Amino acid sequence: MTGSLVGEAVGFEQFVAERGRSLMRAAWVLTGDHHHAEDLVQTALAKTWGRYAAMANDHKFEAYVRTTIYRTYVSWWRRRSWRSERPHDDVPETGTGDGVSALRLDLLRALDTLPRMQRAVLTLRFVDDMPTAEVARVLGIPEGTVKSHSHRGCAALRGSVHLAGQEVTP
Amino acid sequence: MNDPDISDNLRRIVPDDLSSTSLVEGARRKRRRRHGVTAGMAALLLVAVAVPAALNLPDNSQLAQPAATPTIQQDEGGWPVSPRPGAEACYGDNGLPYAGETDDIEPAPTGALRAWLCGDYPTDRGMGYVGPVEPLTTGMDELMRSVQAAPEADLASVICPDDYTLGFSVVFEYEDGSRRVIRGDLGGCRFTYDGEVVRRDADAFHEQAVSAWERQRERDKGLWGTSIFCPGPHSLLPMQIEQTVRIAICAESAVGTRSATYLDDGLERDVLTSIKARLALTGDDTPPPVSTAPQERRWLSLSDSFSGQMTMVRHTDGVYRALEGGGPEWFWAPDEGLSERLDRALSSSTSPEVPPTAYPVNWPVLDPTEEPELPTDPTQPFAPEECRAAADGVTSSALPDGELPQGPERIWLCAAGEFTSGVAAPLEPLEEPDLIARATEAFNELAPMPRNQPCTDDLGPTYQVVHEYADGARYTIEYQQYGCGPVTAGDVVKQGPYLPQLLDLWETQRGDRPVVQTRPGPLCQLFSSVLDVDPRATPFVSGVACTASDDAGGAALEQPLSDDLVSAVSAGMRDESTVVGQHPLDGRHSIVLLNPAGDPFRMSRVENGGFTWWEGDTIMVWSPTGETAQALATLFED
Repeated sequence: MTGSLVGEAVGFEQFVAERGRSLMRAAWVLTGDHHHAEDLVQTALAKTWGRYAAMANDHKFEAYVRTTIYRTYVSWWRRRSWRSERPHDDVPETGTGDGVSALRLDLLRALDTLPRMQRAVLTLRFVDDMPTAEVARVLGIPEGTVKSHSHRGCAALRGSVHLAGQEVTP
Repeated sequence: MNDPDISDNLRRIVPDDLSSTSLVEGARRKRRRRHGVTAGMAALLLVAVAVPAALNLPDNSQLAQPAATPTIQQDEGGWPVSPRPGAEACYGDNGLPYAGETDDIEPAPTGALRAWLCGDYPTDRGMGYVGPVEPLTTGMDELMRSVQAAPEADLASVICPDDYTLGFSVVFEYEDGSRRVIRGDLGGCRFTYDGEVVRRDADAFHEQAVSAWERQRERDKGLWGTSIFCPGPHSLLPMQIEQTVRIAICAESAVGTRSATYLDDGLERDVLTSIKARLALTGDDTPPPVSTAPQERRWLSLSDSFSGQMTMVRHTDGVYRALEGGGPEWFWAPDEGLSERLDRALSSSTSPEVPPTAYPVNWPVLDPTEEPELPTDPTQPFAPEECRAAADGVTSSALPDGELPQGPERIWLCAAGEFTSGVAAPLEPLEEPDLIARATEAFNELAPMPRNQPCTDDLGPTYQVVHEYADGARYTIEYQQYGCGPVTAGDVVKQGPYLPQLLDLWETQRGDRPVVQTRPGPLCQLFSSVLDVDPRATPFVSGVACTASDDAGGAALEQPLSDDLVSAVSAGMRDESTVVGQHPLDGRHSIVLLNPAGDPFRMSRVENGGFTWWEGDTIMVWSPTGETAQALATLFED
């Protein structure tokens, strides 16, 4: 990618075409709702668009977008409470036959009980597979705080009534 | 619930049908609102507020210069051809959208001779919307009266939504040459700004302005002069792709300079005919772009008779795609002959600094006496130098005549891509000439991937197959082991059982001449080998114990197993493994063992001290006993 107009106008759209779904997945785990996830990713892309051409490659730009997604998510929760809205209203009620729908509802309910920072930490750790140091960098918090949030978040999920009977597979 | 299952379950609950199709347009809309809000607040407060440069502006100030390009045709109305997108009257001396004079306090008077509809395209950024190039020459008073009839806003009590705003303006020009601007925001409070008067209902103002220009265009069919801009900005009056009259090739160099070249008349005529005949809307049956990047740095710029522009990008599946503003996405698949002519035109367009990504890359010649370069990140699994070079250089290579040349000296199979990081490829290259020939044929005989084949949207491992030739040339084939499983070499996209054939060849070579090699660490990030490893058929020769630890920044702590313990584990797995159902993992501990060829095998520790792994769809478990159990328990003591 070069610092150029095409880097913004064409390369950016291509980047979104290639990586948009991956970004949406993380945003969906954060918000539990397709519309909020889309809003979150769109906002992060709007904030970062101007930086696209200045980034050395798409990998670095994606890391930048992801950082923006998480920080925007945390700040949004501070400013306007989506939690007063009914979450994950776009989750299909019909099961797929493999229990994913039930698991989805149970896990989303459990996630909704977590403070926003804990949910962000869990998503970074377990969906984006980031190590502690990287999570700390993304969220701008000390590593010890990441560990604390991760520990408490996992404990909350493990102790959730929704997941207490969850089978574990290798 | 253990941590690995938290990860697994969090991923499982994400719906498969998440759509990302509206992300770009939504981001564009929000981005534009951000700028508009800043400008709107400045108008409300009558304070000059600079847009925070750090928010969005690129570091590189050279980003925003549109390509200097040839003029399509001198206009017939006597207005100067603008060197900038849209009408020249829309720009102030600084190249930013014209904002009027500071002493414009009263509302704009009627009696204008002409008016221009302007977007917020700033020439210092090269992105944004522009209005039509031609001025409105009738109905200016009617337009002005309509906006000035809207109720004034009560700024004392107004609370605007906390979103962003799209700004537009109409510049009115009077007989004495003076100009006045009425601006509107399509978002937030949706106000108009007319001198110091702020009114409601900018949407109606925008709608009436657009309608006025559209009505005028019904009468004015003339060609308007303008320049091609690469890429073209978005238009407040979106171009209709079926009204394309001129086509240029835009090319961009590696340093960001751009050029435009018109198609020759014959090719342009044929392309226009084909577009009119074969253009289609993107629908549910339209496959997503197969390419990983636009066609190098060249694309088509379509323009209509009013200088509207639309960018059409060729993807490596041979389909051209175009998207204008909030309109639909179009795709156009030229027939084979026309596609080849366009390819030649695209490849010959001026862009001397563009790296020749369509041809083999000149790789640095490695001195075999030098120590191999260690991975830059010691936490990442080892990969041969040839694979690391391939991963850094190119995803795939264009091939001469679309065929992989015969006679490579060796072939490397490399794990690549972010979803392949836990998969280990063989350490050694394919070197036996007859096997190499079969590998080459395996690619060349693959069938082309159908263009309209629906593909699943899952993600998975990606492999690169690097072919080294005696003359230093290298050709890289990319295989995605997910979705439609495309096998890609430049523009050539094939499909078929490529990887299984390659793995058979590696197995055959190992059968002919067994390899004994050790895979360098770290090993704990590895989850499987692309080549099958049967833990009960081949004794393991080395291994490591892995313990997940936050103290290591999330990376697993790795400690080698003694030779005796490896032998004991290997024998125990061979003799004492049993089939089980689901079994709770302890969540933190695992063992990675290496066979004589350096292929990894991973098994996870369960809560009762045993170890478990998958064999196909079957879950296996081995419960160590005696001294072996004691040694392993000691190893994993917290």
